[in-house]
Amino acid sequence: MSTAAGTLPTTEQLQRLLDSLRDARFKFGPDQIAGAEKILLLAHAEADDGLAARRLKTMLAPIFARTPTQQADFYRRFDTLMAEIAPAPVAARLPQTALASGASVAGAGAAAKRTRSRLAVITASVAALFLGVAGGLWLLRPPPPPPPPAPPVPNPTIATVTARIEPAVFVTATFYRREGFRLAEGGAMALPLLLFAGWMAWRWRRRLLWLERHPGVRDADPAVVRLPERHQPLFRAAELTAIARDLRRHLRVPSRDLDVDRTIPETLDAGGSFTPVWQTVPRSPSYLFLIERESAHDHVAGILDRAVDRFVGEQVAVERYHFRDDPSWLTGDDRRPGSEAIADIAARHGDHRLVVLAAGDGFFEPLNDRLLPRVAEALAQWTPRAVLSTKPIESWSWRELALIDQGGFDLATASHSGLRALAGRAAGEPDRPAEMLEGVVVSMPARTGRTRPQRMPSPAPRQGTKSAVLICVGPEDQAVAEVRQLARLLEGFGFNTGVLRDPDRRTAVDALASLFRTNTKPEDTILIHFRGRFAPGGDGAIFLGAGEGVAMPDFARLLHQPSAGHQVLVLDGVMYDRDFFQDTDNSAVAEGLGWNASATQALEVVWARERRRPKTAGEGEADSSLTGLLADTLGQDVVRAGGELTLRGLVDLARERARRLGILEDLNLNYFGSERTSAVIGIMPARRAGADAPSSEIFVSCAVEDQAAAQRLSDFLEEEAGIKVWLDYRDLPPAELWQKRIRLEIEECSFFMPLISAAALRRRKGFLGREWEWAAERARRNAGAAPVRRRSSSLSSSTTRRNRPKACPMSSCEHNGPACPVVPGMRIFGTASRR
Amino acid sequence: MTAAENPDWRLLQEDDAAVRVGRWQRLPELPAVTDPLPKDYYADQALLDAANTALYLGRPLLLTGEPGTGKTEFANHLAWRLGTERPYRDQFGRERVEYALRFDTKSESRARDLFYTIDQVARFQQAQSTKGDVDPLPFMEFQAMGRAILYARPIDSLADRLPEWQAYPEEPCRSVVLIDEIDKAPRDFPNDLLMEIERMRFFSPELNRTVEAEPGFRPIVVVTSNQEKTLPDAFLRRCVYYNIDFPGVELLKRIVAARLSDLPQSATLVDDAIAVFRHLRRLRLRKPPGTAELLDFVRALRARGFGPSDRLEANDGWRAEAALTLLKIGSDHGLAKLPLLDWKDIREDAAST
Repeated sequence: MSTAAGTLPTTEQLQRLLDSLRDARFKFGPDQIAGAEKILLLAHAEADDGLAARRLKTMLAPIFARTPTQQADFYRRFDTLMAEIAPAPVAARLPQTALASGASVAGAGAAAKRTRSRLAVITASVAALFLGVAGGLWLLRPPPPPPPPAPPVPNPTIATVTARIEPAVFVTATFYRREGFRLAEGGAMALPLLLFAGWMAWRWRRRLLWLERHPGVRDADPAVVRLPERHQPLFRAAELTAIARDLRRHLRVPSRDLDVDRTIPETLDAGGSFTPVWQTVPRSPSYLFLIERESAHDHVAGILDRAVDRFVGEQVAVERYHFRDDPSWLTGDDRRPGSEAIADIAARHGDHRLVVLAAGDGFFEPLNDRLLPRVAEALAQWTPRAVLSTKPIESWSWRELALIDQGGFDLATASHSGLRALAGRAAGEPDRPAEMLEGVVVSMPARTGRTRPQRMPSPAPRQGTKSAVLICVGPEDQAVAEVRQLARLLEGFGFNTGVLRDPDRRTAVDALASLFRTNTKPEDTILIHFRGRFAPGGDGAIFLGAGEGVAMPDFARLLHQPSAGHQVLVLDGVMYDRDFFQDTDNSAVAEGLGWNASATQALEVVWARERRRPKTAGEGEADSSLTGLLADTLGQDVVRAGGELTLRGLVDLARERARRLGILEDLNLNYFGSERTSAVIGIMPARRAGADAPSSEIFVSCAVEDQAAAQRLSDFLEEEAGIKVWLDYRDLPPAELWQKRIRLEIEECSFFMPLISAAALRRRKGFLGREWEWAAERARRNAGAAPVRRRSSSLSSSTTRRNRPKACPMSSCEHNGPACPVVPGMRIFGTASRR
Repeated sequence: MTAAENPDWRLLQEDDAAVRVGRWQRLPELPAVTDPLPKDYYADQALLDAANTALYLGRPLLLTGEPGTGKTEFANHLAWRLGTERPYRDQFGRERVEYALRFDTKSESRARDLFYTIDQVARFQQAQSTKGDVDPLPFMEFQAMGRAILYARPIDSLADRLPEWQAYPEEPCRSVVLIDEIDKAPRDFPNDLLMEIERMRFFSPELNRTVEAEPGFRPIVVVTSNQEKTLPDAFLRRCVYYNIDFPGVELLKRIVAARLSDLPQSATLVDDAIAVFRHLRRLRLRKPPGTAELLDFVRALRARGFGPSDRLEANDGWRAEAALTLLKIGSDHGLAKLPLLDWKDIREDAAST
């Protein structure tokens, strides 16, 4: 056996291999290990070492692997192990080398990297400590012994005593010859320490980056993820086990077997004619989990995956697929590489119970609450079906209602309470209509980058609505942030906006097509902003590159349209493929968009302009046209703002203006982040006063305590924007039937603007609340044709989170219940206080 | 069978409906497709090693792989290699050989079906028309696993129940059992089999007895799966797993040569067909062609008049045949762009792998 030790792994080496397999999430138990050891023993007993070593791999792999990927992985790991132990004599003589090299086998990848970085930290800290201590010792070393005292003066007097002190002073003075020497020396000594500290700080800072960017060496444990507010775990381990038990609960299905015990009496009852009663047999239900995963490092999907892993471990029959935004194409686990059409999945797993774990934004047409027909159709093949939403409950909207009503989904949050509700539903009767499953308790914490709750989308943009779709692509967060800012800016100008981030071509076409479908009139204003290059890729993706502000003059013109006027396409990007719409493949896109000849011509104009533009001077030109836009919209402020003329600068400018007016502080708006409020207040579209303006455009409803803020606000609106404001304490004529008059004003205003603050909420029971109810009543009367124009609905979320009744779980507006104070043509400027 | 000998490969034309009488007699004979014999099956060393491990540990061998990689055939091959095949006469008196005992899993299969099925209705009616106990044995039919366990026992009263055309071995013997496409069955199926497969015995409430294989004659179980469903962990833990990779060029040639016996091994036609086939497989089609499609493709080419030493490059007729035989889904046609396919690309593909 010792002869074979040269090329065959020993039991210890096998053990190390097993350890590394365990790290790689292979599953095996004592049986498998015993089997492997048996085979290893046999191999050692084999006479021909080389043959045994070659065959050992293929003999052992079947024991441990369970998927094709695992099989390949095992082969790779085994080859690494064999390569490590190939120089056998060396390894035999130096066992510690073998050990070290074995460790690197075991910790292939992440573990090795971790060890390396840990080693680096220790080395660096020891070096820094050593240098620091050495430097310190050198600094603090005792001063050199003073030179031997001068030979005693024969006649010691008082004068000689003072003379003996002076040389000592002189000695120290000569040692520190120059001013600041000690300082410089200390600095030099501390340099390594400082460098080390800086390095540690850099490492520490890096750790503070977004969680989802850090893949981490170990998988997230859902039981450890805690919700920030309630300090309770998102998924409790024990609870998951209980939920798994409920999910596993058997169904009774009919079988082909005769139930003899019941057939006999039935047959006797039937007067002897054979009456078969068939047995029902228990069958465990299977589940199909579809998990939305934005990227390979999506932290949220990772947590959900681990929770599903638990179910798998608990013997729940689970099939799992991932998707991004659009569930039409799904990627499976490593048993089936590549993506599959949902129709194929349905053919295979149609009898499963469907559970979608997703935010679900990709299921909807971007500008309204309609489920995309193809998504609805594809998912309707399963019953029952449920969506567990990863969105924080505060940002739920009509879309979640649409999931229940249009999609027939059961709805719950992606948390342990949601899963428990789902399990309860699974155990209950199957034919209930879709519903909201849980009394809303716990929800997923907000996903990074999606913290801004959703604007309440309107059910159907009516004619004359300005709508914009912004599409951006690219991993650069800067670009995405800018496009979102642009969206906010456009919202300030009265646009309905939808932002598509990195869509595939189909999604983009769907979004645009829905836009044109809902705004069919040519006089409607539609803005499409592509940030980047719109070109068909091999797999139908849209590639977008950098480039900004190409068509800014068009853009500016569009922003200045007071109402609907025409249909404009603004395409912003690097280069367009002129033949794009000639290609037959893409004609579907053009058709879906309803692009006619003139639109195509407009596209060509843009394209031509793009081509003419010298590439090097691109940025400057974009800026200058942006300057023109800003000067037009914001007047003299632009001049004052100087060179900072980017979108970011624009928002800053607006924020600055709001701050100057002192509105922010009074209403405690900074709690919500000042950027959002600046978009509300700062960038108000300049309106031509007098043309067809009603007597008062904005009814400001405020509490007595907020009168100062309301005054400032109305001053700003009247002076800067030329909008007439009606304030009860100011504009109510004396000796008027004041309640009647206020009601009339609410009926006739264009905008109802409740100022919501702590004081206002305290006074809601009083007359103030009645004003809001009147507005709501008017909204209800006009429901149906009313476009829901909700501004900054998010702002109220914190005030209502505590005591929102369940009647309107979707609404994040301050008026509960299905009817919200939405008035046609009125915009609600919701603001809220910190409390 | 070239075009000259068989000018009628274009048997049906648009405007020849008048002369349809007797047409069927001029249908071409089916091309020579020989059923693969288990001894012709080529198993590579890794697969054999996996079987070795399974045999040594006494566990079922679970095989996965794309359709057409020969999962099912391997069970027969294994039976042939181990010499457990069993000659028999079928109902028509023809000499046949049964290699592996095969169980085809259905979507409604239950664990008991693997051992025996029983016609309860007939039994019930029999019980109604006669007095006294009814022997359940005549209504039972033993299935693959049940038969394998019976074979592994010395002859006893149960032997009567086996179909007459199957010789019941007098001595206990081992057999290979193939459970085909286990993932078609409901999830409970593999879970219910755990104990039975481990102990190689089953209990029949109708007979009120347990049937168990002799320890030295335990059946060898081969399970195949198409990976359509996740198999339960407990089941996987008791199996030895091997994934059969899709065959490479050499193996494909061997397969074509074995299945289409009228083609010489060195036919350039086969080389070209395999090059096209492999090119298409690299395109990430929704339904990539398998070996069966390749065989169809080669046969269609032969029917079209391509000779064994012809090159596809010379004649564009192959494109239509490839579209018909290799691509099965509409969207794949768009991806493959067969009419525009350049031979340079295909050659590059072939060279790069």
